[in-house]
Amino acid sequence: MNRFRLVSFLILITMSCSLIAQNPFFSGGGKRDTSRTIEMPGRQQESDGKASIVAMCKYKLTAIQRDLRDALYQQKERAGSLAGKLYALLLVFIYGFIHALGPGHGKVFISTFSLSSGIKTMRAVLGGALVGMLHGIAALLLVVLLRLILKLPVTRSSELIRSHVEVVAFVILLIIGIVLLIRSIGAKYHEHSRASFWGLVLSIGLVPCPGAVMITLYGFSVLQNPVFTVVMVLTMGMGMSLAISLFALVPSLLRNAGFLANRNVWKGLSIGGAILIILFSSLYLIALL
Amino acid sequence: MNDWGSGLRYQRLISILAILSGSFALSAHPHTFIDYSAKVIIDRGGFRKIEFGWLFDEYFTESIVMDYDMDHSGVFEGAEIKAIYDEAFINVGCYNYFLALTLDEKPVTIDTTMNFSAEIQGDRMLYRFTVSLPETSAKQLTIMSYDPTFFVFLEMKSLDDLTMEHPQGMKCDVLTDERSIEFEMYGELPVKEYIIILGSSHE
Repeated sequence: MNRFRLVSFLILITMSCSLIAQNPFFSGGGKRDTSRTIEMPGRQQESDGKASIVAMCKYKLTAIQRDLRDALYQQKERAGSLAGKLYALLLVFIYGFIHALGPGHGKVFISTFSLSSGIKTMRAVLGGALVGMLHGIAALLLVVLLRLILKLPVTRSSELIRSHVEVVAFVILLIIGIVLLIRSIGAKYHEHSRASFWGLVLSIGLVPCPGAVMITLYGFSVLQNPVFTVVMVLTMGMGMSLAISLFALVPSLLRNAGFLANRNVWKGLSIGGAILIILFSSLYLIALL
Repeated sequence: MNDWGSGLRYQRLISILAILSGSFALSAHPHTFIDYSAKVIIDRGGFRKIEFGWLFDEYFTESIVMDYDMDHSGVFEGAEIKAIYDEAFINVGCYNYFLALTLDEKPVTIDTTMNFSAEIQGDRMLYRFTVSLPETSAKQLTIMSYDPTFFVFLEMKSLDDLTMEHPQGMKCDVLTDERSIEFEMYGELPVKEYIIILGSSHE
């Protein structure tokens, strides 16, 4: 019952706060939002060296995402046939996977929790999968709500709501981090609260994925096939789930590799994980607010 | 001691995971792709202005068309363009219009743009706008274009998309370089830099 109350509370908070936009095109409300002006790094602030291998990989991932999106868009002519639909689903699945491999989706929170808590591997993986599916479902519901029910401009409104939810999610993550820290300091060797984990999963997952918003709009407006749109978004969610689950699975396997039999190491890791969650969520909130 | 050693190992591991996961943002990036073009206008006094074109991907185009082509004509007209300018362009000024320009190594801040237009070209939308450059006798202009938040990915598809308009008899060279830029929360990524030099050895 307590767990249910906590989860309900987190959802309520997530759905009800002020709006902050992040899409650089859509904040400002008809004038420059100078409070959020970001200085472009000049040449003098750039690193001298060439891009590293990691940077080149990130660049490649970006290029692949673009190619997949282009290929999916070209499928609009063939989307009436079964083969066309299946190919489109394959593309959105891979797109979802690659998209979620890139920066974001709160993978660091999932990884940190998975590594530093005593949560079971299967539960960590399911949590990661749920984040991916929720990202897609939240996007789908958002578009349906804005376009079909409220008849509002989708792009601008969805960005406002999404970024608003993101801010609230970070507040929740901060609270979860603090709770974990307090518990870790006085804790014996035991699992972190499951409610904290599912709270973390929900707060990350309820942030609608803008990529999934675009796929939803594509399905509704270009393909004009609502049922297939739902299937596409869920398939993209499965792709994201696979990627995010990997980020839950690997730390969990490492943790269970036998290094953590010692209680002090365990405690140190739990405290360290909680501090990291606090640190990451605080940094992001500071950047947003 | 062993405990501390293991603890440190795990702290390092967490740090590595944090880096590998790219960021702690909750939504992945980028979401919008732009192929950009630039036409540099040069007169006898030097670099004067740059006319930019942003050709958006089909998905962003679709969302803007849906929200702003109010009469579903497939063409953006007066009031629609004004709304796009106000609601889906002007705020990019907070990001220096995604431009890192230098004139003889000095950064150029862009206060405003001119001649904004938005049009639909097939499945894609094109923004056009002009940036005035400060009047200097600078001999070198560098252009890089990127969104420091990595929400938008900008790329010049080919060198043909960088053109020059200059008085007869004047020569200029174009060099390209690749720089490593630190993006907000996403770390380092390579960005193409275009260097335009006036009064080259060909002159």
